[in-house]
Amino acid sequence: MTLTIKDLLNQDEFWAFLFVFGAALLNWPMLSLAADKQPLFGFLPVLVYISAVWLLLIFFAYLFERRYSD
Amino acid sequence: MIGQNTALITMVLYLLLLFGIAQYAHRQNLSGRSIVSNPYVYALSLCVYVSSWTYYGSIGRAASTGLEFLTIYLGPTLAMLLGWVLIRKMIRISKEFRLTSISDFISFRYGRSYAIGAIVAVAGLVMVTPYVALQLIAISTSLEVLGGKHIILGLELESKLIVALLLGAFAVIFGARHLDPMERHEGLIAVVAFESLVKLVSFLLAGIYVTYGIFGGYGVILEGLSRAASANPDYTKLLSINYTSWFSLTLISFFAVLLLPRQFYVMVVENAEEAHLKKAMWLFPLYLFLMNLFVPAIAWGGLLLNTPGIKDAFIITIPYTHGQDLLALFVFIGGASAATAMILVESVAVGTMMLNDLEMPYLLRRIGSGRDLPGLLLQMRRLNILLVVVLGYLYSRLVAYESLASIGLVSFLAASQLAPAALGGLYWKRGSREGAIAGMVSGFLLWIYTALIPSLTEAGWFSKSLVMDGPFGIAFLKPTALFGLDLDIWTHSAFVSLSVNCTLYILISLMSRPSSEELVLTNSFVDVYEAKVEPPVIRGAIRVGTIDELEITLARYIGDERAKSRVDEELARRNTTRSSIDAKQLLELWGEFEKTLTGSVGPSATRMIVEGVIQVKPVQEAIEATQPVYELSPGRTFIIPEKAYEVFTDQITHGVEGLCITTHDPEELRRRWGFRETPIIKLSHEKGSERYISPTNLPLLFVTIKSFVESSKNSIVLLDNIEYLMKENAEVVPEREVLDFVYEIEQLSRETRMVLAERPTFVHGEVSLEINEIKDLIFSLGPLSSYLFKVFSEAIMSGVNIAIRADVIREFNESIESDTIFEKVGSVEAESSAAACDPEMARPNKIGALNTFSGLVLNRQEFFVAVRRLGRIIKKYDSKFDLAASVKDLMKSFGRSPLEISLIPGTTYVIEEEKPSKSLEVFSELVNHGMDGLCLSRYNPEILVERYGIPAETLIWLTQRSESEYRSVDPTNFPRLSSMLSDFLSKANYPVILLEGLGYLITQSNYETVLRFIQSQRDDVALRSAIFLVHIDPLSLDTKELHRLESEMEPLDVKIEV
Repeated sequence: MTLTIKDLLNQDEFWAFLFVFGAALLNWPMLSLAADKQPLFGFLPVLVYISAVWLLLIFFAYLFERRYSD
Repeated sequence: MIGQNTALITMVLYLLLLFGIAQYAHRQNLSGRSIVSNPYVYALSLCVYVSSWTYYGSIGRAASTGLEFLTIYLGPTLAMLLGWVLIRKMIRISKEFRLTSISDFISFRYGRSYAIGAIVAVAGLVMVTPYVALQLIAISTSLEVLGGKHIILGLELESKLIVALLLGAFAVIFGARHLDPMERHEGLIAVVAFESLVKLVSFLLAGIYVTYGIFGGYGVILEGLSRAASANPDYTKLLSINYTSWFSLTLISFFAVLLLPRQFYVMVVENAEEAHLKKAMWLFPLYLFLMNLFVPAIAWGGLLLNTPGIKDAFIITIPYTHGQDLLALFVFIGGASAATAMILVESVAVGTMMLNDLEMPYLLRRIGSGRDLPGLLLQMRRLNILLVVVLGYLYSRLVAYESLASIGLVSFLAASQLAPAALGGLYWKRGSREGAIAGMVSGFLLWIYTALIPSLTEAGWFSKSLVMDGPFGIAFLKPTALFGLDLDIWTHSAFVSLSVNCTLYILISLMSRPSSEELVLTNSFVDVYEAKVEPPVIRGAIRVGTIDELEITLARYIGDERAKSRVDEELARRNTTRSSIDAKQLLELWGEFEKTLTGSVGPSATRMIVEGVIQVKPVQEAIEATQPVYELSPGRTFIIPEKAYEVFTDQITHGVEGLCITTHDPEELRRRWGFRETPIIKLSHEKGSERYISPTNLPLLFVTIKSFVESSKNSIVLLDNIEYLMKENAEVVPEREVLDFVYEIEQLSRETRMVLAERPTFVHGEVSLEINEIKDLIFSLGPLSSYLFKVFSEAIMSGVNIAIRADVIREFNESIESDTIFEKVGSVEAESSAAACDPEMARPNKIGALNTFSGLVLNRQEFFVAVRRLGRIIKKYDSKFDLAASVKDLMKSFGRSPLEISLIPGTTYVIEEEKPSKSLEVFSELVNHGMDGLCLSRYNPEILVERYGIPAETLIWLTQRSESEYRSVDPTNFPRLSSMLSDFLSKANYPVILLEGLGYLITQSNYETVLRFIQSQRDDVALRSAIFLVHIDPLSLDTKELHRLESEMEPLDVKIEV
């Protein structure tokens, strides 16, 4: 049986996973992939990377609220 | 150029605006239209996390150390991912058990530990003081950027002082309106949410201006920085990341957003609904993201522009130096918003922690119950709030801003030390109190050594050699490089302190065994989502008492009205009433009562109150084969000056269950008298064992005695002694409380044998050294009658019109001087042993300037005479004054009929009515409220007992039938009637006689005989100071006969309230 996104968001383990996943993405070694690089098209890769991960995590939290708002 | 005072005035106006917003939100809440109970406001309130340290400090850090500043916001973002798992559980627990601060939260988890609560409260104060200082300095610094130093009338005005005072007042007004901190502070939260918006908008505007207004885009700034970095290695580090430091700062900020006092307060305590958390889970991180969007631009742009001044102030300096005064002013307001929100919430949060976990438990131990405790607690809470702000201000005077820049991280590290105990305790049941204490204490000590001291060294508080070379030159123990660890200061401190903290928490928890109380609380805490969480009622403290006792005890701490409404609420919820509540429901109510107390005074204080309710079960000593030497009838009060313990021992060794309350050492008593099982409670301020009660804790003492008496069928209570209790409570508790205690004890004696070991000189009247039965304790012991008079006269004077009060007082005092108020006022020292042995007690009391004497001694009659005389004086100036009405409630509270005040002893009254209903009601009211009564009636006594509640032993039936079980007398036998009345008057203390059936007497004999009888009894009554009530049916007599009778008597004009 396939779980929906809603089912996934409803599980505490998913949030624990997302927490660890997010922490991993925002630390070494993943961070080093974008760090210490020169600006590209006027943007600092590390800032772009961090912003992207940040917004992704926010998006998941937003989805949770949308799916479970009363 | 912004004028010198423009910025300050703008700030003051802004604060007034905030005040208006708070007031509006508060009023809307009162009218049921809360503007704060919504998820957006909740999410914005969490943004109090962004203080001026982050508002200005992020830019400073971005300009100094590069991208590390982002970790301060990534940590909270990650924390919010666990919002529905972790934060929701914290909210659920806190609401369930009414926990109102982080110190309450952790203390509660570990068995409502006073030690843990105190540690966290002290740590909270230590960690926020420099943080508050930083906010004040930030405001002051930005003010100086805009307008220079403020000089008024040649004096340098300290803007931070003005700000501190304003914010302190604001926090008190909107953060400490009520004692119950579980009542949400809508005004405060509305302000915090509004300020979050202001600081975000101002920051974004500044960012947009710098990025696009000055530089033409982000890319331009980054390109410029890259070029600068290639020329200057100092700029290279701005683009690089120290991963170790990055990780530790993320971790520290993760803990900080959960455990800083202000964050816990807004996130947990002020949460209106758990569902709001869902919005906050994404809105708060989005806010943080937007807040940081232009930080690199402003920081690096400032560097590229060679902006003067400190880097932290770039956000305000750049627009200001580019002529954007209005923008600079708005940014200043944004920074002020960031600072003020933090100070407001932090001071309220820490103020509550200090009250609940430091001061309240101390108060309970030292002072006992005290007086007007709810009012005192509220004042203390307000003072604590002011203290936090004042300490922050004082700290800001001692250190420079640059030194404070690192204090934010130091505070975050301090908050992190709570993590193992708080977060571990949420999920790990084996976590114990000892483990939590060991972990936190070690963590905080290492934090002080590795983080606080190095940061204070920068400020010049400690010698630099301590940090450079280690203490006493021991390099191995360098605060920033313990055991040779080579890490940046934050990582080093976090690693060392948290490792030791966690290790000790786990190890000590595994080695220790939690108490049963702790286990109960742990299960309730960790399993808070389980189907039904039983309130953590501690088995040892369960009381089988009444609902009234519960309410009385609760009222001591939260006030009468709130206690009543809480009890009514809980009764309604259980569909029961005060009279029909059963034991199980009462037990549940006890649990709710504990929660209510927790919300008001914190968990460790609640525990002390709960545990202070001492369980004394009746037990029997080994019964001796002999007969008891002394006979003590149950239902009486006895004063036994010298042989109290001997009599007590005699009773308890012959089957009576005893309770001994004493000032002597319990062990010595047991040795001397041979008690083994009988409970002994020592009256003492010390806390040597569970069987100590503070002599100033009269409600607890009474409740303990009562629960004992009610759980025994055959008991004796020895109280040694009331004189000691009165001395200890003099000047500590109001006289009313002492009076209530003595009165209640006397009422309780109806269910037991109450033995008082008083000295003969403390008792009025003749007292032998053996057993003396006594009634009316208030008029028999020490200065109690003077207390009573003081209470009555205060109650009477409070109802007197202010315009005539001075005249009344003057005349009353003159009357005292001329001995026309108190008949025995000259014999204070002779009458009162208390006055004789304690000169202090003979000084005049001031009752709104009425002079009375605490050594005054009055019997019941003299007391009411004095009260009536006072009433007459008042009536001279206010003809509408009604003495009976003004003391009605007071009389009832002491078990007296309000009618008694209107009846002058020695008077014969006539009650004219066709049927004697009013007469019988008056008589019943009087005898059921302590007067000794005799009723001569034509009615069958059974009817009088049933219909009017008149005690049978007071009745004499006027009948010629002699076979009745009741006392009767032939209506023609006047000598016998006179003899019965005379006999009664000689034995009674406060006699009242009712003659009902005058018409029958006249019928059986003749009018003249009856009139002579009335006249002779009238004289006896006057001599014996009794009250004689005569019922007449006016229609049964002709006018002349009625008139002749009326001339012998006073008409009775009293209202009966049924």
